[in-house]
Amino acid sequence: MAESNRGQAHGINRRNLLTLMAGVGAATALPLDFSKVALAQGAKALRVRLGSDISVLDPAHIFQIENQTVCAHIFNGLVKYDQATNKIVPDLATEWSISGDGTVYTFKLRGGIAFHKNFGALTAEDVKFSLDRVLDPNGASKYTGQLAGLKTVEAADPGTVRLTLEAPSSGFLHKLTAFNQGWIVSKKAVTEMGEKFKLNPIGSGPFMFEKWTAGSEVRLVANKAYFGGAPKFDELLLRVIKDETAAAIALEKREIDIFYALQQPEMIDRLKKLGGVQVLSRDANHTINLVLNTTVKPLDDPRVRRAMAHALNRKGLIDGFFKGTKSMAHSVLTSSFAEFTDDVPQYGYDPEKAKALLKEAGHPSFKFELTSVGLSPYDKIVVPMADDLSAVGIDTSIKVLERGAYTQARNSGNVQSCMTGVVGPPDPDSPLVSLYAKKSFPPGLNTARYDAVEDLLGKAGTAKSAAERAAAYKAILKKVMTDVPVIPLYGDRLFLAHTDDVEGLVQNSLFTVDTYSVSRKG
Amino acid sequence: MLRHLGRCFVHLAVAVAGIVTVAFFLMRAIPGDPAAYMLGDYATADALARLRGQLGLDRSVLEQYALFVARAVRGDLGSSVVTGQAALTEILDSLPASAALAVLGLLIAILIGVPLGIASAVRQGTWLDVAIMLAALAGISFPVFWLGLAAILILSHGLDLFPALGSSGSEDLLTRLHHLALPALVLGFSVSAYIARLTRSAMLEVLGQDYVRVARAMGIPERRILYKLALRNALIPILAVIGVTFAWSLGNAILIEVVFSRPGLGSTLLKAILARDYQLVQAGVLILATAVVVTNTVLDVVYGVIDPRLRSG
Amino acid sequence: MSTELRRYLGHPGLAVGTAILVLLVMITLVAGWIAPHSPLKTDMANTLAPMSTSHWLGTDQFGRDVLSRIIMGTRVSIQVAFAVVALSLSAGTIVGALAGFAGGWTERITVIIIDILLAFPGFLLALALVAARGSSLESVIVGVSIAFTPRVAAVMRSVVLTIKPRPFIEASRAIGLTELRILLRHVIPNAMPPVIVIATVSAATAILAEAGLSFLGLGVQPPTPTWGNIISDGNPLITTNPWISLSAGFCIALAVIAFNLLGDGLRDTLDPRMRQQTGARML
Repeated sequence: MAESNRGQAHGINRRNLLTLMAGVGAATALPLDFSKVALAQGAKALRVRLGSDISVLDPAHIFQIENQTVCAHIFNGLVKYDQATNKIVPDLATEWSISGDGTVYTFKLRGGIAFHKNFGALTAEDVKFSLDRVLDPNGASKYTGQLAGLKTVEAADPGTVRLTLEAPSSGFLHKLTAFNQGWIVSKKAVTEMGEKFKLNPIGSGPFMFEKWTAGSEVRLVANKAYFGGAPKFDELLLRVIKDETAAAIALEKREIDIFYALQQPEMIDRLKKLGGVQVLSRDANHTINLVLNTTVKPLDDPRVRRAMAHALNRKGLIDGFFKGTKSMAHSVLTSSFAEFTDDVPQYGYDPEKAKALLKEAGHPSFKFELTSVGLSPYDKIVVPMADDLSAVGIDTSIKVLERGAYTQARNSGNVQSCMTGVVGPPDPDSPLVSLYAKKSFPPGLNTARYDAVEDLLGKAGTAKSAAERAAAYKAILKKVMTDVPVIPLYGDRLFLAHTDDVEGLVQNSLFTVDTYSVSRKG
Repeated sequence: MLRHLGRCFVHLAVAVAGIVTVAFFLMRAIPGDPAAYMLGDYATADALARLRGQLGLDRSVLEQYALFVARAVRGDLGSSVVTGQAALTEILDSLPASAALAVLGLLIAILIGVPLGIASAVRQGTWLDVAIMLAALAGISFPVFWLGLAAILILSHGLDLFPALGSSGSEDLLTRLHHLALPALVLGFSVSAYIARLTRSAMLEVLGQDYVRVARAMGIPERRILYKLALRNALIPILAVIGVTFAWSLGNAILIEVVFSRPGLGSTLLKAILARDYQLVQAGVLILATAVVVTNTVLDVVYGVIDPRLRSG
Repeated sequence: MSTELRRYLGHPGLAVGTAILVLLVMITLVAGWIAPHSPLKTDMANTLAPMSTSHWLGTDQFGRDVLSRIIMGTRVSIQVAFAVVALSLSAGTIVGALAGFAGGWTERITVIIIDILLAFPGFLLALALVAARGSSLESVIVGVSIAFTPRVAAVMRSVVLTIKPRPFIEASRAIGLTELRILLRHVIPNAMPPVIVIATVSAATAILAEAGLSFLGLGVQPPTPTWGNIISDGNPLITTNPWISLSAGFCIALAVIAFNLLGDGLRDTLDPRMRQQTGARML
């Protein structure tokens, strides 16, 4: 290319620079020519933002809201929560009856339901298989404890399932709703695929699993044969976008349709003001909690734990950091539960009282480590909490661990504290058993290693009437809020933003997003 | 020439064997129990023990090492403890997206960096040189993730030139390129600064050599000196930079992939590291390091072709 | 001395780089006195306050003064840079010098090991090490230092190779000095100029690496401010309170530019021969 001898010595540079500039110009101009492509693709696909990546889609092993959101589209349960009212309504079972003594549940299955991808009809055998899988002590399901008390599952005939309990349980239907252990899998698929089922889930829901691209997206396609009618979109794309700013820009530019798990208060505010975008919100079924290990000194003294509850400026956190987007929590049951009550011991922000309680307990000052997980907002809210605790004499340091290390630390029980929110259905046992029952440690979420409400929990389960049930749960809440092994920090509130193009989105209180009801305008 | 080739390949083989060893022991040094993580909050002691057995964690480290090498030779790098998929498959699946980013980014970097470096060297000491070098200095001084966010804010949100997301689910090539453009531009800009600086040094080095002065004295046109002598001789250090940059962009692609929510080796590895999915980390690190070594070997061979004096090295 | 000083000052890059670094080091020394507020004290009644005379850069999500955090962050970030330089330079220099000086099999094996370690992308290595050790200031320093060491060792070895055949080394041998003494008294001191240049590059890269690790959530534990975690805390607020993230980003760029200017300048003045040996980034 250097054969020409014409031109001046330095002419080369100028020409090079010009060529270069032309090149850059072309590169920036090029995308303008097909900037409409993204829109065209959006017409048949619904695109939803996920805050972090998925991992396992097998209901027996599932955890984490992103996985649950994906599975909510793939699987059905015998019954489900109505998205809007949280009432338990039919799903795979059209009707059910409960025996007089309250121990036998008989479900009639909807006829003609087919599993995805030619895995055959859904029958009572599949229901039995799914629940037995969770019950199997060697199956290592995370949810074996949730089905405790379920003695046998029988497939009476292909359309009838009979469940027998050891004792009557007033909230048993909650355990069978379409969530986690309640999701029904294809026996044939699990048996044939083995380990591979984890990422090739076969259910009967409105969408079928197509492909997972790590770090980027999960693609589901419509199940046209869905018993509730085909979904209004051919595809559901769940895009992993970690950063909320990027997600908001993507929503604004119509690269996504639904912004799920919106957290940042400033972002909520900004999106609310933005034209063409709707922000939905709803109180969740869970609180975010500080769990105190009651087996280590001086946290074994309830006065110290009460002092800590008084030391934390929870109102300041809600107003200052969350800008009022979260609600005060009086116990771990939020107002979305039928069993909710605020008639429990309450701990207002009172540093002087905290100091006095610490003095009374003989521990005016001690070293304390706040262990938290590196996920927003858990890694953030510990900052003002540590400051509050230090202000009353508790020398507090923060330790934020990434998810894997955090789970290990919590399971080991060698932590003074941890941050836990029990995301789940409006079933009071979900947070109460997880956080306070002896059988939840080890392993489990009862990192407090608290064991003083065993009797009360048993009583609540076998309550005969609604009144008896309400009284039993109230007794539990009073007791745990007197002992405060767990300090509820705030009631979570969920925010979703979506563009004006989509309609029919109903927000649930499970912290998942279910897009089956969604359609595109026009 | 053949001897040079042979030497390069022996070196490659030794390096790959070393990488396998280092990758294995590196992961073994990480504290924590992968089985406990995999089973999560509700693991029972029985289930833990069974899984440890399955993963071979109950054997001695040396046994595990022997097993790892034996499997690695057959192309089996274990499986992800989180997803249960073959680790190699997961890594290879995420490779094309990373390669696309690295290659396009590098291409942009070379297109910007090499001409600027040459211009700067030829005009050494002028305002142009100072301006280019200051820009290059700024380019290497901002954190790459920060540049990425700035690019989203300015080029995507402000000027509406590019999509905010670095990838799309579309199969359409144009759409995919459209989404790749911004991350590649950020990577390319960041790397071009580095390439411009080194091209400039390499050119200056060559332009200061006696034979160039002699050529000038002989009245050979400057343009010919630049292309025939200087650029050709400066090519080796520039190639070396490109080799180094390739490794660098693979490592830093993690940051760009996270900013633009792009799939790729970086995202997969970050996910694996955070989940303590050690077999996947092992496989990913191994593949990455091997890719770097292979690139270097190819470059070594190329050097030998360009400059026979380097064959002995 | 005066000619050297003149040469030093006559190099604009060197002078500017040194001036910025002296300023930054001074800030780290007096950070506690010049910070207008406590960098850790939260004030939940005054979160995300805009810029004002009492809070020049406003406050963050917890009502902490951003300027004070940047000032204290300077201390931590510069500390990380210096610690990484000290650790990786001492380890890398010893390994590299020994290998280069010893020759034979020791050298060959060391070179192979260094080459293998160099194949692992440095940032990734640091990331894995920090994840394994758990996030903390020490983890970041150790992780980045370990990732650097083979890079320093590789440079050191090649420098030693150029010194070894020089006549004064032969002369030292002839007068009966031990090998260790020759290494310590003659080889290492003579190899210092390029190593100092490498040091500036490591410092610059360490600051960038800390920021990158913080961005991925694997940096220094809160509430300790570093430039890296100020940026990542500020990122979600970039549309509403851009100054938090922007100011820390500029500080990083400023420090990195200063280290690079210093490195370029030192390279030109101390050892013009090694122009092409250093890049501006090592991870």
